[in-house]
Amino acid sequence: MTITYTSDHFKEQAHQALGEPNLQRALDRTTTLLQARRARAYAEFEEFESTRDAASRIKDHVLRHLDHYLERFETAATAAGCKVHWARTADEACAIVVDLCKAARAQTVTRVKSMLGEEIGLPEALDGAGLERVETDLAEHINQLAGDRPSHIVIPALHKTREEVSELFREAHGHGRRIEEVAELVQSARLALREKYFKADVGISGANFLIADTGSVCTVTNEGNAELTMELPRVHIVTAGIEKLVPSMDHAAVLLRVLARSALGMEITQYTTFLTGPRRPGDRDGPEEMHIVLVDAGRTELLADELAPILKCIRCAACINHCPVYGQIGGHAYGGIYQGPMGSVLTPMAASLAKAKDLPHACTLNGRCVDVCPVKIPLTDLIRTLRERIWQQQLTDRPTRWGLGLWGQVVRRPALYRLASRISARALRVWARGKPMIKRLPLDGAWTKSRDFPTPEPGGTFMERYRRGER
Amino acid sequence: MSARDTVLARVRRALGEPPSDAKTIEAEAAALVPHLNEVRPRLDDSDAVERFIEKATSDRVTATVERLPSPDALPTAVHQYLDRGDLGPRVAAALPPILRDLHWDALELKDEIDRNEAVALSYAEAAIAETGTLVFPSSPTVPTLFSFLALHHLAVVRADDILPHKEDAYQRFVGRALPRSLVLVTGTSGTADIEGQNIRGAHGPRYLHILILDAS
Repeated sequence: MTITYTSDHFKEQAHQALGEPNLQRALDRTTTLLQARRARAYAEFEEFESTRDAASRIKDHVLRHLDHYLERFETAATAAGCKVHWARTADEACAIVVDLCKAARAQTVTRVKSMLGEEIGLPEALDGAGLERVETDLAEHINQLAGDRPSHIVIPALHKTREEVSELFREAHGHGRRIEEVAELVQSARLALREKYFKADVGISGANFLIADTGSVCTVTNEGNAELTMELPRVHIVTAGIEKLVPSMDHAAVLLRVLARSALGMEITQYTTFLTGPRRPGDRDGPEEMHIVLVDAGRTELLADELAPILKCIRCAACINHCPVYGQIGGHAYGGIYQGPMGSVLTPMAASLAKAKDLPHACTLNGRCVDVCPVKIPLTDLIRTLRERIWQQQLTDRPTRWGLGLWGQVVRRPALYRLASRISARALRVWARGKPMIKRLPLDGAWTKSRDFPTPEPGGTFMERYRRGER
Repeated sequence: MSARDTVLARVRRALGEPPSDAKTIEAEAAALVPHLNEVRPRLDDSDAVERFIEKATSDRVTATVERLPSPDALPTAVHQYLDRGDLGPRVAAALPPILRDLHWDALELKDEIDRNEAVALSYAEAAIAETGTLVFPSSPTVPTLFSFLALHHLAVVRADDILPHKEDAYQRFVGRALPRSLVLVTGTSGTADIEGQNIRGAHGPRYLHILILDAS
């Protein structure tokens, strides 16, 4: 089911986010913590750079031979007793899942958080088919109660403070109490969800990795909700993007070592599970049927494109956690499913470049995302490529095009450029009236609407001071 | 054209070049993890069991560990754990016959696990020193749910089965079919979903107590 993107309202949404004290508090509490944890994990892992190299090369290799690995995986998974389905589009993937639920005569469906599921609009499709959908990931449970979308790919309810969660649980869990401690909130959710695991007819999960040579599906969680969702219902359905393949378990081991460290600063998540087929003779648990839906939904288009490196992404969110823009505006401002640097590249794929044209521009090109990416995706290069396309496709608004055109004429003439910089640096100092930051730029009020401009330093432009030997 | 053929055709068109043969691709894949010590933490010469205990009891993994001189000491150790927590005599147990047949008379061992079971005892076929991880392959003897439903998870592992790295544990399955589910358990069910605070006992166990059996 096609989901509604509001990425075309990025500017208003970002502006609104900056003025929400609860969101600012939640962002501040969490991103600082995640950055510190990641730094600690890598300080203790001397082999980080070589592991990151290997992780990056493994992903490159798989993309280069994606057809081989898809067929290999299909053969192995089928041999293990799974049924493999293919979906060209998001809608086709949702239709396959809904049909499988109907065939199972399902009433209740439990779900493990999967960003692909969110991307293809699976929650909406399940709701639309009249199924009782139960999100089992704690954060997704919170989002489901609040009617919110994920604001972060690893911690989807990052935008919520404990006070807000307490308010949601008070009613939904039927105890009417105002809980203050986070531990007690978690216990409240545990009790509410336990019954649902046993009630569900179908469990739906995603995949962190698909192991080509064994046909296994690998998931990682800390909560253990994935296993309860995948083991208890009679039917288990996996939806996974076609880029999730790895050659073998040993290759997965390399990627697993960087995934948990990059995401949460952990050496390994609490649970790492490899599922290979449905229940076997003699087994006392496990689903009777296991289905795997391999989803394209724009990925093959990216594969043919210079943006292909984004398909290496393992959804660790390190780029998001270290993005100064995300740290200020949070996830919902991006108006899609993916946020921050990786989201600015993926949302144009999932929605359209026209609809997402503000996202690649909401980037300072500081490159922290590139430094922390565990599979070495050149995010800032990809964002620059998208900016070029936005320009070429004339998606930029007219005043900006006109302004940039003029700027282009000036910078190509060094003497003129120096003269213009000299005049504007002096004019801006007068305009600033001695303040260190300019709140509103003359002639460019739109630019300073959501940011401040530093007042030029005294002593003239950089080039003037350089000539005088001051720089 | 079927969805399958369409997706594969799109992939091939995107890649442009004619596909390499499977042998070449496999050789390339094998060369990607040639020197395992460059892509995993080097463990110093300390004993794997010592390292496992250090990791499993760290503040990130939060398990408790007890080392038993022989399998015969297992029932008493379990009994004492239950007494310490005032948990009653009932334990849902998933053990291989040789451990199931020990003298459990003082306890009420059951082979099924209830949805709100308090204590589960299960057997890990291997453990990983690198991260303090237990390895549970599913089988009729040890179903997966024994690691997930109870609030207290007691896990038994033999000292000889504690291996240095993940890859060593995977190696045990080379040449035979993978179990239906292979679960690596590192600590207890936890969440950091509310304000990044680590809380234990999210959906599954809040306590993990590991009993290491030395050979006898």
